Amino acid sequence: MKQNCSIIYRLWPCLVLFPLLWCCQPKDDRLTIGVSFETLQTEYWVTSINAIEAACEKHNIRFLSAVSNGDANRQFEQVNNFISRGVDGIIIAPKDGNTVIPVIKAANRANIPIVLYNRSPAKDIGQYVTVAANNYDIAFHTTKYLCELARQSGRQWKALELIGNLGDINAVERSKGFNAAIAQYPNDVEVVAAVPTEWNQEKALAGTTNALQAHPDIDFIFSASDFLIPPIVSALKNADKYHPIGHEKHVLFGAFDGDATAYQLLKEGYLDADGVQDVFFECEASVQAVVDILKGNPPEKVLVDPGFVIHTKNLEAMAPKMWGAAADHK
Amino acid sequence: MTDLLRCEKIEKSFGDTLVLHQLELTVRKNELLGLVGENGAGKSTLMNILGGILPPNKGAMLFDGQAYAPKNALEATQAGIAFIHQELNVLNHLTVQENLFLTSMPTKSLIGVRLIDWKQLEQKAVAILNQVGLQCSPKTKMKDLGPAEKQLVEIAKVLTLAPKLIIFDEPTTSLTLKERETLFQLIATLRQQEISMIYISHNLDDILQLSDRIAVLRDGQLISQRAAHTYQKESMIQEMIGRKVSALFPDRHTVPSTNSLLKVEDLSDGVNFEKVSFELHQGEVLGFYGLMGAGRTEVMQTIYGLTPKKAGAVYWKGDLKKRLSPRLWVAQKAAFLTEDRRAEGLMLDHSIAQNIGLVGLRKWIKKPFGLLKTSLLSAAVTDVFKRTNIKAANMDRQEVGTLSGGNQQKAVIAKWLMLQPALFILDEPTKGIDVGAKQEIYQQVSSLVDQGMGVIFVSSEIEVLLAMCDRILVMNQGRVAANVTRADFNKQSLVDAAFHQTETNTVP
Amino acid sequence: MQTSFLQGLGKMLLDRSIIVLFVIVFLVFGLLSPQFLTLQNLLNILVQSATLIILASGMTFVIITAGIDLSVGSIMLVVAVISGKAVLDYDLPLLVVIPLGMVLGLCFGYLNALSIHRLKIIPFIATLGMYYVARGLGLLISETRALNLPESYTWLGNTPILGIPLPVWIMAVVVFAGHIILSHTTYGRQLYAVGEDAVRARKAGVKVDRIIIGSYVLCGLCAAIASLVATAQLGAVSPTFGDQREFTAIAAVVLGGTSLFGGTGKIFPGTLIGAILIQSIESGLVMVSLDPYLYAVITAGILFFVVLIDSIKHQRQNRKSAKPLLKSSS
Repeated sequence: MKQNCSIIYRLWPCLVLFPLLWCCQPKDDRLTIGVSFETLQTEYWVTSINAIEAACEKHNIRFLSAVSNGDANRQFEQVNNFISRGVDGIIIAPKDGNTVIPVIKAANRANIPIVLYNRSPAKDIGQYVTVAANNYDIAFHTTKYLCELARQSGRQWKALELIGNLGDINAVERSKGFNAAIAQYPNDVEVVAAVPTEWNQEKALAGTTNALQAHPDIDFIFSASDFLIPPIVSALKNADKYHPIGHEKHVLFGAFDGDATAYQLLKEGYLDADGVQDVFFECEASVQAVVDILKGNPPEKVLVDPGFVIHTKNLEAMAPKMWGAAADHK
Repeated sequence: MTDLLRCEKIEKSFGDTLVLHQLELTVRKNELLGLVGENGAGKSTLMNILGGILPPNKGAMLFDGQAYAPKNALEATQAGIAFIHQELNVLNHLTVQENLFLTSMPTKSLIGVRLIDWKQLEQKAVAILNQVGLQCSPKTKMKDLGPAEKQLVEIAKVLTLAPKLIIFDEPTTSLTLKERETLFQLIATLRQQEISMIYISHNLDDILQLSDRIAVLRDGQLISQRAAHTYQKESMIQEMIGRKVSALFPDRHTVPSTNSLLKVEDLSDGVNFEKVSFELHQGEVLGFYGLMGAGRTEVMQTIYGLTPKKAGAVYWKGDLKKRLSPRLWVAQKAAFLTEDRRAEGLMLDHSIAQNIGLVGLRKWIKKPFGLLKTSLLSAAVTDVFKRTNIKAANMDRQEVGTLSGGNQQKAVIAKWLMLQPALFILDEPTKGIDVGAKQEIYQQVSSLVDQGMGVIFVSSEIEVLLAMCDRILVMNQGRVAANVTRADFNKQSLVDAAFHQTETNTVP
Repeated sequence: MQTSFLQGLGKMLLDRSIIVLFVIVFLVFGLLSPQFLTLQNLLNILVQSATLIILASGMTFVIITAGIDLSVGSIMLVVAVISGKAVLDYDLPLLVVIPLGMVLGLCFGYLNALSIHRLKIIPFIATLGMYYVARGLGLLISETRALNLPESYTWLGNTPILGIPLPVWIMAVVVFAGHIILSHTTYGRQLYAVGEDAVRARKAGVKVDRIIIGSYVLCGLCAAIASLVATAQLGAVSPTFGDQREFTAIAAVVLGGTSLFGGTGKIFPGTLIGAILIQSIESGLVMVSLDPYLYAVITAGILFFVVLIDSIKHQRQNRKSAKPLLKSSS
């Protein structure tokens, strides 16, 4: 008992000092935004979080960040943490459409504006703003560009599709967009194989190799993400199908995202077209949305990033908008 | 003859308990010393000291003319002392030759890699197997050998170390009579090779037959050490337990009633035994005699519902029981004491009282709340604990695992007595326990039968069965070879029935 | 007579269930897709399963000791990231990078062994800890960005020697070496002894600690080799690289007949066949152009079937072994 008392006795200065320090902290009247990302596992996400930070800086907003490494539960805790720290707004790249719903509810209860980056909730519940690329449209137009090239050749092409994770709404939308575009060119392109990759490079390599083995006549490939490009290239090289545009054995090749690898291959003439999500637009729009809600004029519930298709013909003009080309255009 | 090993005033205590007290023991060169004593007399502690596993508190040892104080098992081995333990230390998935030379495989170098030289290994293995007289390929998997053969491999393994003294600790517990003879022959051969031996056993006949000299231990002290021919069995027992034993076996004076308790007709399990029929009456002790592998244990396990039956019928008090299960038998108050008490009978790290109370638990659960009547239970447990004469300081606190083998066996019996059973199947109840405990168990059986219970007594010791049973069934290769009542008991004919090889009669 | 013949046949099929399944899988896929049984495709399957076979070979050592190593996938990531960085950022030649990667694998294996044998942590927990540590380290060093490896690196993954790609040769060397170690060295035989009963092995004079340390070090080494082979094939390292590979490896080892209880099992042919079987199923599903949504169902179904057969087999064995067991003690 005595021991305990003496410890408290010794610690009392701390007990007093802490609240004092708290109060004496320089008063920061800037707004604060908490940003929670499900993952930083691809360049896309890293570029996004950096762009959001830059946008915050531009708006003179304090930026807090947390990454939950694929754990929806941890993401929920991180957001609650933001709420209890009294942030003014939340931007979240959710794990998936279902687990984000309680997060939205929690933010609504605390009356803090919440913006969903890149993925929409599974159900329309509560107050939120979604900023997302139009996966369907971008995939549709990218595929359509490829199909036009195919039609010009005047012969029939055999296509391979690499699908992402079938549980990811973005992957599903991209696949739908791809198939809708192909459907408009029944005489020019036929889909002979579809490989689910679960966003895994090794599966993409094995799947592409096997598909090329089963259908040696494949000459048209669409990948749901740029990050699957390196394994696809490996598989193409092994099958002696990796040749630049203009070569008689060139495979029509399109992908989605707009990262640095895609930019490089576009420049080198191996990739025909890439659907680009306008990361800078999306990030700016997310931060702007928080600011707008706080000012009292909330934006539309869904802010769509129309994105764009970049291909060899518009490369010069569009590259500055492509996030993967940012290093070249600073 | 000179002394090979001399222990001088060895003392060892664990906490306050003095285990070895001023112990003096000598082993001469080229001698077989029989070592006997009750469980807890200090035999294992002495062996652990010799083997370098425990250091003595006081005293000195002299081995082969040099001071001997091993710090670990390796030093003991290097000095030339080797052990054959009761439990076989073999690795079943490896071959015989790999077991023999596990740590000293001959190798040859192939481009800088040391690979096993199988040819040389096999030659060395064959040589050493011949030495112990084991006729099997060294490439046989260990799991395909019988217990006796495994033991021979163990002895062969010990011989590869060129020992001067081999210590056998209860080597015959898992051997049949025939296999035991093989072992004894091997021991005789080893003596010709001038290897000294210490032979520890509860089987006093073996000790008397094998030893040059015998040492008797009691309460950590050497009681006597003399030439073997100066001992008789009775006097040896007396020295071991320190009091006079009137007789090892109790007088059986009750006569079985004519009420059928258990009736078995043409029981087969399709693998181990075929067409076994017998009837057990109330107040009867029915002995099951036979060699190992004759199917005795398997019959009991099938009756008790531990293994499925293929054909045949089992009647309990005249009623046909179609589905046999341990649950049924517990409900009918029939108890089964398995031969492997460690594996099946006891929870070693629970207290004696907890173990005893386990089987009868249901009886002490009272409605309406289904709660355990602890006071009634503990009274009953205390009663059984006293009746079975378990030697323990405190039945509520002491863990069963700390008891000696004999007392563990008594605890298992106590556990089943809580059921107040009408039938008690005892499978090798006195295996590996000391004379005092054996006597108490025989007494226990006798008093159970006096109360009208039926007992099935499975044993490989014909003397015990002759003394205890009203009737003896002999099993041979899965069939009942003889069924003899007390009036017609004849040791020789029973043993013959068990040993007689019937080549045409093998079970598929 | 008829029944006993059928029983004998049934027993024979059960005893060789893995082989039977192997044949069934090849027959079914062969019938559904004529391309499946071509020499080129069989070679493809070998190439694709090379990584898994190497990884599972190392895992076999650990499982024979009745241990488990959950960290191999993460070790793959660290090795891939560090050797990738060494090539990209420091321009180290492959002759330096490859040994570096292998030494790294050895070190991680040794760390696993230390925590198991020095700190007496059970293998499951110790290697689970390493799973997080190594993965975290990999993500930290790579800043969770994908690394795209240069041509000089991917050369390793594709160059054929005598018509057979290098990964297959490497795999063959690993399997051969593993088989020799298990079957023809003192270490290997003692490994089985330790796996069956560590206490008995110790009593028999085996240095149990050394044997166990050795198994985890070998497992780490195999993970490193697998990592180098996989990165060379993929041409890229993504932050999800090696994720969940430990489970596929364990599945391959168990499919190959190695008991999780230790003491039995072989790399050749057991683990080799187990790994090839898993890869053939994945490969076959792509070849027959099945609906991507059914992939998981079919794979899981086949694995379940194998485990079921294995379980039936064990029950039978137990009943058979009951006889000698009782004999030994009745």
